[in-house]
Amino acid sequence: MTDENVLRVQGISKSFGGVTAVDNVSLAVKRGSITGLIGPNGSGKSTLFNLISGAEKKNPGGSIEFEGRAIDGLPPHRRSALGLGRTFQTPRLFTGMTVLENTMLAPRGQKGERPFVAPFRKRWEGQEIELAKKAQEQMTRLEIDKLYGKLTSEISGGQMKLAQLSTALMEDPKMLLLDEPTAGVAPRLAQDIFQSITDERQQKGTTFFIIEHRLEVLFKHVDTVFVMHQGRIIAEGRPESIVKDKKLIDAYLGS
Amino acid sequence: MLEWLAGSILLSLFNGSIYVVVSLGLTLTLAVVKLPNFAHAEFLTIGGYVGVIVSSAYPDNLLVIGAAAFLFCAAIALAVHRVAFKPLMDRKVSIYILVLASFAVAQFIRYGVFSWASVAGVLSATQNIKVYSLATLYNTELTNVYALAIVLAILISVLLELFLKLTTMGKSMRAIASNFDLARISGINVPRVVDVMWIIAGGLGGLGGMVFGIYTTVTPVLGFNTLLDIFAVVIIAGLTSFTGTIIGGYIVGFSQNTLMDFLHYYFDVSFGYQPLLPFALIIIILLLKPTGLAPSSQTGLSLIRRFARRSSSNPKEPEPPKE
Amino acid sequence: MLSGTAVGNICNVSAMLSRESIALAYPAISVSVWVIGLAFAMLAGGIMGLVVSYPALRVKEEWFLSMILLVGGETFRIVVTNTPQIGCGFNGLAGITTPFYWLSSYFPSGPLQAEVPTGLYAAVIVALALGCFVFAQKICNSPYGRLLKSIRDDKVAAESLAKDVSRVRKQIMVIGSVMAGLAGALYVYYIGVATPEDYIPALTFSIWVMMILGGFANNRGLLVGTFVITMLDRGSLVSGILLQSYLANLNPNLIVYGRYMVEAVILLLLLVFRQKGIFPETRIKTKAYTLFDFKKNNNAEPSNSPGEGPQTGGAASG
Ligand SMILES: Nc1ncnc2c1ncn2[C@@H]1O[C@H](COP(=O)(O)OP(=O)(O)OP(=O)(O)O)[C@@H](O)[C@H]1O
Ligand SMILES: [Mg+2]
Repeated sequence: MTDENVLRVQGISKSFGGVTAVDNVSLAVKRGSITGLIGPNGSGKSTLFNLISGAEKKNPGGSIEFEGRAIDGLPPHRRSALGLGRTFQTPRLFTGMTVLENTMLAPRGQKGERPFVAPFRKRWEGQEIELAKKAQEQMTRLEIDKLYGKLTSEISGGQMKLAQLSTALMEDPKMLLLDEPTAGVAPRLAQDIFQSITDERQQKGTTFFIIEHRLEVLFKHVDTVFVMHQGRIIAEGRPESIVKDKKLIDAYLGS
Repeated sequence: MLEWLAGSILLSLFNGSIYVVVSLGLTLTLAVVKLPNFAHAEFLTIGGYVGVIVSSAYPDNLLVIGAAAFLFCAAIALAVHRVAFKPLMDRKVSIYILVLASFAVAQFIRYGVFSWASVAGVLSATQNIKVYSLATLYNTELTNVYALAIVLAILISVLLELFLKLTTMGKSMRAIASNFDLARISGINVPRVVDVMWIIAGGLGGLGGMVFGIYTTVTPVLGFNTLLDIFAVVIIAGLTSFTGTIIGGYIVGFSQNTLMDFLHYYFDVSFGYQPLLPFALIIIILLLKPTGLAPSSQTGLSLIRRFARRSSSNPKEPEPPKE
Repeated sequence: MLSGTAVGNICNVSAMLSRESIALAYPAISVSVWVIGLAFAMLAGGIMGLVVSYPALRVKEEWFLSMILLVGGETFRIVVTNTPQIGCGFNGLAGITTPFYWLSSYFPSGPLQAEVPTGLYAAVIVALALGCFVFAQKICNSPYGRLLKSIRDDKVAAESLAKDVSRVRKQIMVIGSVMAGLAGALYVYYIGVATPEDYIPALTFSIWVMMILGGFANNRGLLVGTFVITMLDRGSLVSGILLQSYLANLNPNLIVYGRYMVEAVILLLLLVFRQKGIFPETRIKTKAYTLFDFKKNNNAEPSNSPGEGPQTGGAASG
């Protein structure tokens, strides 16, 4: 019964002092779907992602289940280890490292990440080359392969977004939370990003949960959309029906 | 059986008062320029030595000696700010770099004092100030040094409070403490206020050191030996609370004297372990309550004012943005 | 009778002398005690690192960490100073000889008798230091090095990539502390006494200066930094002795104080004018780059890489 939903959020809230950024939100995301999350600025979308990924602690009460397992007690890295990846709205890259190093860092279970295996190059080099090939494909698809040797502090904002996406995809997550993946990216590339997302879903069955303000692109690719307003989910449905929703137009698209 | 208690409490009050005077300067630094200044304790050393020098010319003249310690350390603090901290802060470097820089300043001052004291033959010196008993309570003599420290701590706390609350300069200082960027765009002359802040911070360090130096021998490590004690105080205070600093000063004072005596007489703990007590406070507080014990408000008065305001009306909630 | 007092108190002069005579007479004991000593020092260092990492990695503000470490070091020093049962307290333990002290019985009395064992031991220290350097280079130029840098740059982002940040930080504190423990033991066998007063914060400070002088995250730079500061230290001692023969009333302490002040000035100048140190941070060298560099070279595209360009391959193998 829980099988068709990979993520299930039940009545979670978050307040910052007097502000309730996320207000008793419940939602479920279908396995293998591309699900959108839209809403005006400050409606609590990023905060919701932070609660799901564990970057912020939710208020007591409510639950978050990933693949039928309660994850709200787990630290962020354990959630991510279960296959729940994410990106950040303002890209958080490792600025002292190159684009390639950022991308290569992501994969889980690297043998050379253990301190007493690391000194023996032979034991991890095979895996390293495999991962490098994968990274190269990934970066070529996102058109950042030429930046491989640049420090991420020295690339443009849009390129940072792409580098972050590339890093997140390298993790091979079961589900990926993307916070505005195309913000600050050129329109044609925005289309390409969503194309890569669709391809990725096709090939690996990855579930995507995407915050996006570029509705025209988003609506072309998503199966379901949640609309958030003042910390609450005020609508849910297929993109066609959402555009017609009067409430949403008042809250977000209109005026 | 409790013969030691009265003397111990008095000593705790004395030590606590010194910590209050010195730590208020550090709290000010942390609040206004957000700098954990590991060189702050060196002002104590300098103040102690200024006391040694000036008291040889003006024996027992507390006013002259105190003023000299305050002014000299204020000048040193200002110089350190201009030479070392300001160039770094102007470049908005990370706090890690600032901490390293303050360690460098501390080391420079400490060994500078060592060099001078070694040449002048005052590696261990005393101030020429007579210590006499004012009263005797429970076999314990209340000396003039004790009284001086306690009165000074109260006086400084009140004066600092009034300064921050009533003067334009003090208000600007609080504005910078609560929001640096906002203060700058709202026309406050930030560099000047920060200069005054350093003058007060250094001056208080020197004044505390001078009074401490009447009680104990002045050595080049007088300040360094209290460095972590002072940091224990400001950590108890949650780094930026002045009320918390006053409470923290006495907590550290009592832990180092009355608690230590208790441990010594009842559990046979050697006095050599005394410095570990503030260390334990630091570790426990950072682990249990990393924000410190006191609420991080600017001043005691503003705390009271905030309570007054809260009881009259609820704070306004920011409206959610609308298009 | 001798054994009775020697076992009873290891701190007095007769114990010191009997230690020296045993070291002279029994090479096997001498060397194996040294080996066991090093092993225990590394173990103790590792345990200390682990213990201190508990509070140090739980604090909220970044600079609290440096304070916790300062507190940890000072705690240890105060405990050792005030507890005669550990290393004879404030006076320390003397009569510690190099593991090759017994060699001196093979030489006629003269400079060789003292210099050969010490020189040999110095060579052993250099070899071990080199071993540590190679080990550090190898773990830095590996996925583990990448992991370390990522945690330095952004802990939250590293956690979002399933990296167990607190575990890695603990590991690296232990690795660093084991190395420091080794260094301490090597040093004590070299200078012959172990006293808590040698390990004051000024020593930690010197190590910082070495590190920042060489440049962050650059092991080779660290070698240069260490060399410069050690030269300053030794140079100041030698020049002090030379100066003293000209200036009879020169205060010898001034040389030591002056050296500490110079180090402080070096650090301040570095922080203000060249925060990155003398050398830039090095790139992590793994085979991953070869794929890209190959492609770049084949397509003859303009270089996108900063500085001297990526270095690849086994440059790190020792
Ligand atoms: N760390 C924080 N501290 C205090 N308030 C916060 C914090 N993070 C978010 N908020 C508040 O929570 C509300 C929701 O913020 P959030 O970032 O989730 O919005 P959003 O929907 O992602 O907006 P946008 O589309 O602009 O990214 C806002 O009112 C914001 O001010
Ligand atoms: Mg957002």
